[in-house]
Amino acid sequence: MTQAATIPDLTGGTESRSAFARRVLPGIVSAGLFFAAWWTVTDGLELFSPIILPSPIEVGRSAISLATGSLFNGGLYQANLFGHALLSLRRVFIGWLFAVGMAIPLGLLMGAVPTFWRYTGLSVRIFSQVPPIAFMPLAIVWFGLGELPILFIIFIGTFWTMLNNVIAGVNAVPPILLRAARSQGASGSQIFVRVMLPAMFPYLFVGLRVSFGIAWVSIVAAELVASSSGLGYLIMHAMNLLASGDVIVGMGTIAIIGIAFDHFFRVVERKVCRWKMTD
Amino acid sequence: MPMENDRLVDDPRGLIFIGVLLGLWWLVTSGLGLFPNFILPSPEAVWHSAIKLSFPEQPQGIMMGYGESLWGDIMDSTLRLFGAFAISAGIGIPLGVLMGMVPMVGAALDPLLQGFRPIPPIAWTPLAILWFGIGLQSVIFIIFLGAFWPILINTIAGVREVRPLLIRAGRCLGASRSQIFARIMIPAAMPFIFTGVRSGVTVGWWMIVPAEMIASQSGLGFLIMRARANGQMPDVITGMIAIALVGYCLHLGLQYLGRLRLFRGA
Repeated sequence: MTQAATIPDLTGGTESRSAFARRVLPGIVSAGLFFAAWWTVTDGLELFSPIILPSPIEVGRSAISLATGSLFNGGLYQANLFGHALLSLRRVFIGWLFAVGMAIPLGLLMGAVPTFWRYTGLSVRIFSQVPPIAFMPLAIVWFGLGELPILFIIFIGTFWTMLNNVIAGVNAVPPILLRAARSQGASGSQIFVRVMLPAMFPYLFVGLRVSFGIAWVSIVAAELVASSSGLGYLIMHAMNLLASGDVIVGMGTIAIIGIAFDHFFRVVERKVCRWKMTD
Repeated sequence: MPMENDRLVDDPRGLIFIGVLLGLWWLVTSGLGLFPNFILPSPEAVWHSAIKLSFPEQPQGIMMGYGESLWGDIMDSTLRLFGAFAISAGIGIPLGVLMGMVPMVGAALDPLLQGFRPIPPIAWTPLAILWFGIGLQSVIFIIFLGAFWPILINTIAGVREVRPLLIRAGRCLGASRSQIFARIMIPAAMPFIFTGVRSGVTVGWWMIVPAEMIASQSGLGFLIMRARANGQMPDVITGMIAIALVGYCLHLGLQYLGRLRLFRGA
């Protein structure tokens, strides 16, 4: 790994080959090789049983059968792929919106009143160390099996991240801006809406994006442990049926939805915080 | 985290607030009797459970179906975390250095990275169970994946971010290639690598709970799930407190390591 030829590349020296040959081509080749290797060890040489590792073709067949069929009833899984995805997304949105709605006012209070943070900071740090899914047993006892414990897990998993980001946002507002606004006669509400909120936006948006990512992972975990619908349930149930193709399709769907939302939040972030100079 | 601090308690007032919370907890359970023990156990009940689980008179395995003692479960979970983390770092750091330094390797493996990384580690659980069965290997595999991606991504970024000036300066001063690698590249990339290690451990600890709930017969995640099935709510709370405290200790330990010169970079 200490080959001579590699170091000049890092120094930004002259490049004779085109960007296509350096960046895109190896990617296409490696993705192609990956699928070829996958096919070879499964359908080609039949090294693995389809339960352990289904072939790409088998996974494609699973994808088609899961994507067709009725949205919410019928079929092996009581709903099709989109039905389960919608159920998971609905849970994520409800729990996450609750967390955001509570974390923003509380974070503003904790950030704006330093004494408040001095008292509560340690508790927040310790509570935020509990992985959200560890609340599952408690949530089941409190709310019974069903929707509520899952919503509670999403809420508790995203609340701390959002809270920390709001507090960091409040702390990041340059005091000089506040003093400047005040000396020019801005009222308290004007300072809040016109100065503080815009200065906090980058932190708020990072909080929204990161907490949504956590919510999406938590929903899968929660549905794996205790649910009879949603994408987490789908892959767990597929495992019980030894339908590995369906498991892989479910995993892929979870990944694609996760990236799509991450991308969406980044785009909005870039639009809203265009003035922001640094990352 | 706003306001980083590596002391156990940065402000004594934090302890006062914890005292207030404990007082409230006592008040709504034992004090006023608003909640019965099987909904929200009282602090005393949790204390008794912690003592009982820490110093079991007879092996709990026979009685309750969970591990031998709380310490045993803490050890199980922590050892799994460190074992899986060692594998993640052992593969992730060298691979990241290779992908960062050799553009061809980076470009070739990048699509695989982009394709596999968005799959949440916990979503691998069903496949892990099909591959390895319920037990140690499945848990290790899930935590390995959780820690692997942050370590790999940060190592790649760290190696790519090394300032070319440093490398040119090293070369001008007559450093050999291996010297440039060991004395310039690696130290300069170290802060990034450490960031990866830090989030790797954090994600790993996060993952251990669901992994042990589904695919294990011991450890803290298994403890709280089994305790609930047995209706032992005080044991559930004890387990959760243990998870939080171990997590907080890991967090403090990593913060301490982050201050060492080795990880702060050149």
